Amino acid sequence: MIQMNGVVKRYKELVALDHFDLHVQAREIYGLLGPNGSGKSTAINCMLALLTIQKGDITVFGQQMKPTSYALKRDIGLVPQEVALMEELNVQENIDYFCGLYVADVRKRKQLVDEAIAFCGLEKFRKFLPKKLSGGLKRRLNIACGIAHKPRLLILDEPTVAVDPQSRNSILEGIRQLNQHGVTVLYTSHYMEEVEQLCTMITIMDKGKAILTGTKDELKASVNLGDQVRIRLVNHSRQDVDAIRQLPFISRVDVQEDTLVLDMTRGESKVAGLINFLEQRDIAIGEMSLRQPTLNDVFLEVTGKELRDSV
Amino acid sequence: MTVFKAFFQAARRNLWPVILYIGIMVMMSVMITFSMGEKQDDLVVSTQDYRLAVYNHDGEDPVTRGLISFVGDRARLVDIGEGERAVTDALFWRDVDYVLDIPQGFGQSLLAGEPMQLKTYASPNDYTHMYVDAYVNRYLATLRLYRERIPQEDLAQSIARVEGDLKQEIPIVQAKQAEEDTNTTMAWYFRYISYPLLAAITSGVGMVMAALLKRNLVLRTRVSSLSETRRNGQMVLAALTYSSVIWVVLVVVGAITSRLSLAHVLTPRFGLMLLGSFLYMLISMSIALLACAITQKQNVITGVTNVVALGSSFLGGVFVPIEVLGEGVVRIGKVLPAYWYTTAVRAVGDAGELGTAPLHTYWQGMGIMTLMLGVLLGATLLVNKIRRQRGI
Amino acid sequence: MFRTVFQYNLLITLRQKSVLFWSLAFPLLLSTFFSMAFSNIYTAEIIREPIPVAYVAPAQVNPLYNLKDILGDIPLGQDGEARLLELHTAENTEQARTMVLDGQVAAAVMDGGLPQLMTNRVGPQQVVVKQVLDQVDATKQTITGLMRQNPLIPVSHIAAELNQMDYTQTASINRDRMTPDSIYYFALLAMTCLGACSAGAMIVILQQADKSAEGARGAISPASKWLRVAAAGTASWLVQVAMSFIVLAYMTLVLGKHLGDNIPYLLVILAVGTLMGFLLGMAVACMVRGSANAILGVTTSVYLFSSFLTGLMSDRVKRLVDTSLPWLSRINPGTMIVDALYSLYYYRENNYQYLISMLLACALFAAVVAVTLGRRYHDSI
Repeated sequence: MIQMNGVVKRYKELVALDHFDLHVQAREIYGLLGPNGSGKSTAINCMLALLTIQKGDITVFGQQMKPTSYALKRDIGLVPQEVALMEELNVQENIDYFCGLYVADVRKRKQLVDEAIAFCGLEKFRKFLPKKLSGGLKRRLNIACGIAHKPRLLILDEPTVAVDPQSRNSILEGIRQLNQHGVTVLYTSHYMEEVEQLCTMITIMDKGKAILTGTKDELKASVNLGDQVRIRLVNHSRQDVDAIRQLPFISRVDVQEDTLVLDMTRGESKVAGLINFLEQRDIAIGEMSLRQPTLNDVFLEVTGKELRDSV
Repeated sequence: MTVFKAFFQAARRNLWPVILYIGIMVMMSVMITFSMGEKQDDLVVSTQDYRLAVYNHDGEDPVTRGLISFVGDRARLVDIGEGERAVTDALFWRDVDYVLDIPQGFGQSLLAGEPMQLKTYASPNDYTHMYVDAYVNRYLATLRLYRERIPQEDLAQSIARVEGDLKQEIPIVQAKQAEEDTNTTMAWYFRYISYPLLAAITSGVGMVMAALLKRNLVLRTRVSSLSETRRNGQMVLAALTYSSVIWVVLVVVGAITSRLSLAHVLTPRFGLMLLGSFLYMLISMSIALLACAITQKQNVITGVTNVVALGSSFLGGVFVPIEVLGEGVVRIGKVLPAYWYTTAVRAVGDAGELGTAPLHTYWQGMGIMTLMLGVLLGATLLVNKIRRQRGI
Repeated sequence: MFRTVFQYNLLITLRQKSVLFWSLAFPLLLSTFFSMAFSNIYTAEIIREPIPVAYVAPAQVNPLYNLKDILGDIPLGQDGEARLLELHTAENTEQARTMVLDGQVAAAVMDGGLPQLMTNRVGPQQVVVKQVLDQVDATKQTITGLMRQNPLIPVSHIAAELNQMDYTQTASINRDRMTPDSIYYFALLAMTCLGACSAGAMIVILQQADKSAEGARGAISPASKWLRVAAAGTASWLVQVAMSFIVLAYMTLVLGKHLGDNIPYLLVILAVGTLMGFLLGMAVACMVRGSANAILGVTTSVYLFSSFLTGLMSDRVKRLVDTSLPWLSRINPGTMIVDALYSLYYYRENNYQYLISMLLACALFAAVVAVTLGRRYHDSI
């Protein structure tokens, strides 16, 4: 569906995309993750021929993507990060206007607009102007404007920013439904749990490069991350903590007051081994919880925990 | 001084459009001053530079030739070609100021006592033609009178008499003392500075405030530890600094183009005009602040700027002399600061000596402008308060 | 697709009430002021109030010729009720000087063998006073000359005869009943047409991906850039034309100002003039690189300067430009519209050359838009 091979995009001295590769197959929900300034939006803009590239090639639906590729554009929908609505038009008019850039037939368009309104739960707000809508509703309207013409490829650039949990849930569910109906989705977000729930394939990018690509399990497997155990011990000494550190299946120990946060090595669960060890040393366990590695952990592991200056 | 700094950071983002705008305002001020303010000191009332064309259909008739010679001594005769179209073209393209059409048989008709009419054409907004009409009529009336009263004289003698009677002009004496050397161009410049001052300040301050007064930003600062008073104070201080820079630029440019000497600057007259323009700058700034308190949309502020700046300049007697405006318009103009500024500056700019009368007019204007400034600032505070209470 | 973009942009423009209001407010307000200010100006009744003049008596009074009485007797206007000059007696020249410098009087007349006029500036009042003095003196010369020839000649009505004769008739070059102050209204209409440049600039801003999110959305749609610009531009331009027609209707129907009988041609000039202003705005927006605010700022500056050169603020500026910088006058879009409108006043037949000039200018601006916007296939964000 989308092929980006060795794409280089420079803004004077700054290299925004550095031999960037992206391959999105049909009917995937593809997640594109990266810190601020990593080049996600640049990649999308290049993909949509809004920006020139210095090297590489980009094909969409198997064809070279150019600004005049109107046939290709007919099947693409964009939900930009910034809410893009006409302030003077109400909800229905906004959707109709943007759908009108894709579909000329008035009757067909009316049906599409009604479907988009229903899909995004905006029936009660048809005649509302954008200034009267809450942030969540504006986001839903933003989405409606991008999907009304029933694109085969839908690109969503951080669509759930500043949206309440109910609206977010509704949006994610809607995306799943669209995908089930055959729409390929390219999704960017900073909310890892969304990407983890939604996306079938993920690319983590940083500094214009694709660092890691795969399913969420593949990503987790590709970094040396095991389970994390939080344990509050009832009676323990410093020597006990040092002994725990020495255990072969413990990669890291973090002491937070009376709680130990233990990062296990990757592989089969070592929790039983840990419990045995504690019993042997006669250390009582007050509380214990287990957390499996998340995409957030992978992300931070791959891109680092330092704060980034966004470009 | 966070808000103060933020003002200039926002201004820097729109630096080039603001500089261009101010540059155009400066150019307009200079052009308008030079077109209107020159030669005011010369006290010349003459039509020597007035371009006059004569359509003579009366051939070599001595009356007609005498008239043409007479007007030729008082104005600049130009040739514009033949035909009605030539007249229209010449007037339209300003190749000529006045056209005198002498019909065939005019000379004889005058002498016969049943004079034909001379058609005259002039540009619609030209008033010097009245002066020319007056002396043309006077010449012909005098000639006819001499022919009636002294018929025994020959025509040439009568014409000579007429020319003798009308040759003398009342001399004009300059009322100002020799040492009272005033720079008239600068006085005119101060008069016209009101429009560019108001336009540049309302536009520039408006552009910056539109960015700073976005609702989310206002709400964010309202919940901060910076008090409303201090925030508003910093905003006003920033606007004042910005406006003062514009004022200084306009004054300095005016001084340079007027070739102002130090002697002119160190006079009470200059000081008073400077003070007046400073007060008007404050008023312009307060108008800008009020407009921004009411609306934060950039394109609306632009519209408001045009209406307020141009409208008040017309009504205030900046572009059209107050004497020429109708009574009704002058009454409306009196509610505008531009009117009082123009009146005050004219009073001291035109006066030879700064006697009681001009100073009285000046201080009256300044007093009223000060009151208007208070009203504008008060209105701004009130609007801000209402917005705050409504949470907008 | 064109129709959809056109319809919605028309709707958007018509719903921007505050923008429309302030765009219309200026020409409507100003034309109202013109109506109040200039209703009598073409009759040259500039002097509506008596002119205060100081009078210094001569050392020796001539019993046969009393200049003071003569000056004090000149009527103001036709009805003869009020007097043109309001005489204030000054004891001596110094007192008269003080009165002039203080602004109490417009000028001072020092009576003597040959009277002198003292003033410190030249304005309409001073010109009238000098004219009066010149004529009074000339009358005195004439009467003296006549009496030298024949002392028995009755001279009592000579002054009145000399002043009442009117051999000149101001002919109007205008074919209709337009009065000279129509020029100001035409200049205002030209400014209204030129004001469309802001709307033109906004169209370019809203259709570019790097200037607005709406532009980005449009840029990735299958509707071509030219279709969007043309459709949105047409809608916006039509609204601007309608506004200029509203201003014209207000001037003619509400204020009762006669602007000629050739209204259809006037409407054509307004439509083409508005188009020229609109395309000028688009061209400026295409050439200026920067934020939306920067573009609008530059467009406003161009509009103001162009309007200024048309002489709306000062007719003398137009003269200065026409005489000193004629090339600037020729290329100024505002002057093109003004000249096309002025030609309605001056010429007896429609002068299509101005319309053609405006159309050529439209073509030039459209070409600039086509070339600069056309090159931006790859918008820089």
